[in-house]
Amino acid sequence: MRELWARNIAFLTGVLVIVLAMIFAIRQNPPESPATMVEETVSSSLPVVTLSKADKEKQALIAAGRGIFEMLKCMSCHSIADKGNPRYPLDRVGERRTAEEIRQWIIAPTELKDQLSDWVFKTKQTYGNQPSEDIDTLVIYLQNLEK
Amino acid sequence: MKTITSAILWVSIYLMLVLAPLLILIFGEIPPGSGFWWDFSMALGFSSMAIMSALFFLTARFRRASAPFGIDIIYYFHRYLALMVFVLIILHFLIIRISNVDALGVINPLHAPWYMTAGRASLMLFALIIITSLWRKQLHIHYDEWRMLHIGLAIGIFLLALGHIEGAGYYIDAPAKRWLWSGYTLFWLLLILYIRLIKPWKMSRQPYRVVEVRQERCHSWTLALEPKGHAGMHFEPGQFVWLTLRESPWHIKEHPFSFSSSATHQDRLELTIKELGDFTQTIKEIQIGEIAYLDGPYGSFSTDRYPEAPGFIFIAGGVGVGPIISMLRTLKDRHDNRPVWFIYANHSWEDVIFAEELQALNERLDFHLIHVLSNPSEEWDGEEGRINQDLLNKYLPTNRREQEYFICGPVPMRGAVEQALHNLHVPLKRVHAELFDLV
Repeated sequence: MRELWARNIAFLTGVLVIVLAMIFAIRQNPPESPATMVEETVSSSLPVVTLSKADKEKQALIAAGRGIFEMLKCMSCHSIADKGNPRYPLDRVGERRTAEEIRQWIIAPTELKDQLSDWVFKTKQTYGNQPSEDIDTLVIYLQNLEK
Repeated sequence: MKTITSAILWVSIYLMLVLAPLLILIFGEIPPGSGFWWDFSMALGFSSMAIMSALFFLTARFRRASAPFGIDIIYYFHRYLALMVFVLIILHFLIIRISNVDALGVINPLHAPWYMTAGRASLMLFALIIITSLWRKQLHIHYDEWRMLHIGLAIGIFLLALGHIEGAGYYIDAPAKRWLWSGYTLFWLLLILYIRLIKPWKMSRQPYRVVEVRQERCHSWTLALEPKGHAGMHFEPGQFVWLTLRESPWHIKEHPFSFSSSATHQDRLELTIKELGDFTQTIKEIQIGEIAYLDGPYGSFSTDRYPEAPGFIFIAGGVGVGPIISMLRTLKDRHDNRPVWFIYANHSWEDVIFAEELQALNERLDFHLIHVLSNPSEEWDGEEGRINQDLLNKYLPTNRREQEYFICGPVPMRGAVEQALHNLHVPLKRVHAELFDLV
C-alpha cells in the first residue's frame, strides 16, 4: 500500500514537471498570428544566407566567414536560421549592429566585461588571439546574414 | 487523523520544493522565447535540479518529516524519484540532441565549453549511481563502500549539474531567479552540514554501552545496549535504528536494525541480528563494554500506530521476527488483552528464533501461534510448506477484515502474503509491511 503511494507520488512528480515545463514552453512561445506566419513562411523559403548586391569576391569572403563561424563553434551559443543555440540568435544582426560593434562583441574588450558572464567574457577574449583578418571575415559574414 | 494531516503537509511541502522553480518561471518575468522544444527541454533540466535537492532532503532522515510515512518508504520513494529525475534529464538532453544538435557543440572536453562537459559528466555519473544502487549486490559492492561511493557520486552529480546551469546561464540571469538558485545551493550546503557534522555530533553526545551479546538460534545474535550518561531512547515497538559500532559517528559506517526488545524498557535496548554479511558476522566478536551509537528511532511499522485495532496478526519469515518480537514483548508488558495471531515461517525447527519465548507467550497474551516449516523433520506435526492463501484462510479469524496485519520477511514471501490477503478481501490499508534490504 505504502509502496504504491510512493510510486504514485514519484510518478505524479514527473507528470507535473512535464506538464508545467510544457506550459512554460507554450507561454514562452505563443502561437503566432496568421499574418506573421505568412511572413515567416515566405522568409523561410529564402536561402539561409543570401548575398545582397555582392560581387563574387564578397561571396567568397562570406563563405570563408561561415567556415570561421563553424570552426570557432559559435553555434554552441548562437543560432542562425534556427540552427544552433536559439537563446542568442544572430539572424539579421547586420541590421542591428555596425561592423565595429559586431567585432567588439566577438572579441569582448574590457568595456563589455560587465555585460557578460565571466565564462563568456573569457571565451570571447580568446577570439582576440585569432588573426585580425579572420575576425574581419567573420564580421562580413555576420553583417550579411538574413533569415 | 493527525498522521494523515501531517503526511499531507509534508507531501505539499515536497511538491512546493520541487515545483517552485517551474512556477516562478511560469509566473515570473518572461525572457524571449527560443522555440517550444528548446524551452521545454530547458525547463525539464531546470526542475530536475530542484528535484535533486529533494533527493538529498529525503535521505537526511529528518524524524519529524519521515514519521507519518516511515523512513523505509522514504528511501523507497527516494529510489523511485531518482529514476524519475534520470528520465527527465535524459529527456532534457534528447530533445536538444534531436531538435538542435548544433547547440550541443563538440563532445571532446578539450574543445567543448566547460559547462557542457559538466552537464555530460553529471549525466554519466547519474547513470553510474543508478547502476551501482539497483545492482549493488550483483556487482559485489560492499555496503560501506557503496555508501561512500553513493555520497561521493551524489555530490559530484549535484555540483556538476549546478555548474552546467550556472555556465549556461539560462533563466538565472534575473536577480530573483539567481536568488532562488542561491537559496537552493545554500539549502543543500546546510543539509550536508547537518548530515555530516551536526547529526554525528548529537549522536556522539549520547553513546550506548554494550552490556550483553547473546546467541540466538539460526546464526543470530542479540546485542543489548544501555545508555551511557543519558536517559536512553523512547521508541515504538517495531521501529528500527541505525547502529554504529567500533567507529565514530562521523565515519558514516552504520547499519539499520530493528529493535527486538520491549518498548517499555528504554534503558535497555536490544537488537537481534542475523549473520548475513560482512558487518553482521562481526557482531559475535563484540565485547561487553564497547561503545555504540544509535541514530533513530525510525519507522512506522508499529502496533502503536493503531490503538483502536481489535487485534493484531503478525506474519514473519526467519529473522523478520525481530520487529515482531518487539511488538509481542511490548503487548505482553502492557498487559494488552487483545487477541494476537502470529504465523511464523522457517526452514526447520532449529531455525526458529525465540521458539521457547514464543511458546511461553501463551500464558501472558491471548496468543495464537502457528509455525510453518518448509523443511521439517519427520516428527513435525505442524504446518508444512509456505504461507499461502489456504493456510491464512484456515487460521485467520472471522473478523479478519478489521484486524491490523504486520508482515516482515523476505521480499517474495511478503509479496505472496500480500496477494493472498488481498484475495481474502483484507483491505490493503490494514496490511503493513516493513521494507528492508533496499539497496
